[in-house]
Amino acid sequence: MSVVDIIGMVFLLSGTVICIIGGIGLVRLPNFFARVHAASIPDTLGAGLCLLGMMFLTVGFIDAYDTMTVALIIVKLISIGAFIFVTSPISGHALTKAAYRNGLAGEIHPIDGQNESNDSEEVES
Amino acid sequence: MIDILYAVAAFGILFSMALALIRASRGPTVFDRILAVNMFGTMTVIFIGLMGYLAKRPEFLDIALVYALMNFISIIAVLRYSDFRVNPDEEVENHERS
Repeated sequence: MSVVDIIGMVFLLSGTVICIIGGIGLVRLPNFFARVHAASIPDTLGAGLCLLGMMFLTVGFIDAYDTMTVALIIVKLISIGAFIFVTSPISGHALTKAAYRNGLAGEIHPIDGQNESNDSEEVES
Repeated sequence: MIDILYAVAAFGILFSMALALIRASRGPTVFDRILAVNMFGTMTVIFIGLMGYLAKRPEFLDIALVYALMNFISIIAVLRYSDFRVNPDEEVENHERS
């Protein structure tokens, strides 16, 4: 393993750890909007770190492939990362807006003091 | 050595996908399920890329790019469907039913 491989592996494994942290938050957080917050962490930071690590690891392929192939792979990785960075906040915002319109905001702004958290609902289901 | 680390990263991504599936099957409202499926799609993009690196064939990244496009369009389509179903008089009922 060369130095570039080690740097890429560190980025890739830290991105994996952040994805697992986001998954744990998605399962354990009590509120829908808190879960949106937890699920958008691996969509941006986790995916970005994983793709950055893959870019460094592609440089290690430069012995097996020619330079143009490696450059094309890096361009594909950059385009995937740019697309995820643009579309993930858009879909998260659309999802949160639809949930707000459907009346889920009563959970975080309790009107009568009832329905304060989502825990009771989870026990029922 | 580096193959083992690729496999560790792939298993971590698979574990995260399993956690998203737990939320998708348990989620109280339909929006929790959509959220979990959205995160599952992003994790699938990364997993397809990692599979390409694990098999020493990085051409799999084309499939990952197409999957990222398809994931975004499917989420927006499902949300449009859920938006058109909203009746402002039945907000509470809609929440309880979903």
